[in-house]
Amino acid sequence: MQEEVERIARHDLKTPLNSIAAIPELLRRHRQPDKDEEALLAIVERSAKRVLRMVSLSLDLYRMEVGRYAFRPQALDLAAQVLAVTQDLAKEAEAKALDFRIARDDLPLLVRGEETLCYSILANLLKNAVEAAPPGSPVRISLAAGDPVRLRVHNEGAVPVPIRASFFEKYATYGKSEGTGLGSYSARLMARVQGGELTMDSADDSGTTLTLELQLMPQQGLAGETPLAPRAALPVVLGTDAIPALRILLADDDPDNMLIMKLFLPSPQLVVETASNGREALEACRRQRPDVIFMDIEMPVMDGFEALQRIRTLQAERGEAASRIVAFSAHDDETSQLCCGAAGFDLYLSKPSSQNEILELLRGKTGRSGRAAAVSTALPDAVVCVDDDLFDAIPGFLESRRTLTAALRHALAAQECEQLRQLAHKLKGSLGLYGFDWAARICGDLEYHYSSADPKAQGARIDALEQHLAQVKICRRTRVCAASH
Amino acid sequence: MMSHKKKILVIDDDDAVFAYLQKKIGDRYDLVTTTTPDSAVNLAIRETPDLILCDIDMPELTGGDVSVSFFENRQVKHIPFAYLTAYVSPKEVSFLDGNVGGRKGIAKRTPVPEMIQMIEHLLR
Repeated sequence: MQEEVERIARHDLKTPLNSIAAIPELLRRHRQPDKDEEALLAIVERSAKRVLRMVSLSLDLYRMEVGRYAFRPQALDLAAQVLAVTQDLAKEAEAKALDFRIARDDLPLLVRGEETLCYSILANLLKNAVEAAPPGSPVRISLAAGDPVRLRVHNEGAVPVPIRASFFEKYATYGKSEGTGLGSYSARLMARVQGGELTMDSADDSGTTLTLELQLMPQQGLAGETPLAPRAALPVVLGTDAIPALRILLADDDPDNMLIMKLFLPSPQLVVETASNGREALEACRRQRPDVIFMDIEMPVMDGFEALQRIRTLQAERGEAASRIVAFSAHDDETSQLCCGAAGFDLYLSKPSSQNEILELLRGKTGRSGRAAAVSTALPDAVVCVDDDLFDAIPGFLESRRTLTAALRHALAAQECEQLRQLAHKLKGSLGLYGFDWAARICGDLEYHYSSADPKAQGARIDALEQHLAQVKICRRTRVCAASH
Repeated sequence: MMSHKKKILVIDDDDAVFAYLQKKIGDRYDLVTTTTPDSAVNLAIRETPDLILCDIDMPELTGGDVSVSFFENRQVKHIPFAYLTAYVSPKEVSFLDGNVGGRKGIAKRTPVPEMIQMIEHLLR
């Protein structure tokens, strides 16, 4: 429960932080700031982005703790990362008259990892080493090829005996007034989530060694991926000329967010309307059809999911072309994205998004498609979100539904119409209960046409059902998904 | 200690329906079940439930048959009896004023809070 509260608090922090981070760029557009002003703006920008990264990282840590982190490995040059971190820590090292001594095998050391995670682990290891090393002593870093690739960080200070056994435990800290006790804990968590390990060895006479092991990247890499380039420079703001003349509706309950989005969207090319909740968005659509809608998910009065459904119904009833509806959410996890896709959003954009991302989307070039196969109701839901309390029962449930589907096929082949109807009815009821709406609809069709003279069409329905039950991806309903139900 | 929860007998030939109800309302009610409708009356005599929820479309014995056998048995005819069915949608049930085939009825896909409300109403 406490963790849930923390998770929500972290999420709610992101919205105002995004606003702060976007303001300097907008101010610069009004007039050229002088040197001092520019320095201050840069501080605002940098600090806000730093806090945002910390919030995002703590969200990721939460996901790692509960085993829901989606690891996206890439080929990563560990030596280059070590170098980057030592450069970042140069000032701290200099203050204590320490130097970094790096020894490495002369082989490319590509590991299977994520850049942010590796950077965080290395920053933690090296910062701790700098803090713990006696003044004037070296911090030794060695990189050894092999699988796993081993990185050792050694300093001559020793970890106090009472702390050694609990070094990696959550909230364990030693001698640092501002220590959170989360650094080593999360470093190990991040190592493990990447399929690696982090261990510590400390003795009074030999000092302390932290050993990080990460999996070697196989020669071919992941689908031809190359080592990551250093952090990308700030994106170049593209011209606004190629933007088609569109009518845009922004639905967001946060006035600051709304203001920033409005400033991002060039007028007069774009006609921009705003709505502060789902109901207002629906009303706006009733007045005039927007081409694109940016829809926040969590809004008062009527949330984004309900507004989406109602706008779709309204436009279908009127015979209007469906607006392109973009879920615009501060949730950036895969589940929320899948849920939005399953609910029927055309695209998913997580906050914060840069002006470039938004303009690219309006040019019709980018945006992660949330729906993929589910655009037409004739196609099955690729993902089904199920209630948390039903999640564990799903494998057994699907297995029994597959058995019933096989019986359905037999009944069709044997022309046992009544049996086919009963089975279809049973499947329809249960699949609907557990949230498999598409499958329930197909079974409803099977039931309705049970005495149909067209066994081919019935057979095709059974094929589709069988395939769906074999391939459907299941996700746990989150707060975002719960709102969509 | 005796449980103070009300007891509901669920008659449905599909285990998955009972498993669903157990997850959704099992902490609020004592649920007993059978997937063989012809044993339902005897089970009700033994378990003395406060409410019976019965599927309509079952092989061999339909919900209608089951309801007749309950109605004809002196020992169980007083127990409130309702259909729990996928034949109708929650909207249709509401349109039919809660009646399905001459009996009280609850659509299987009724959202859980409303389902509890309906059950509480039947238990009164």
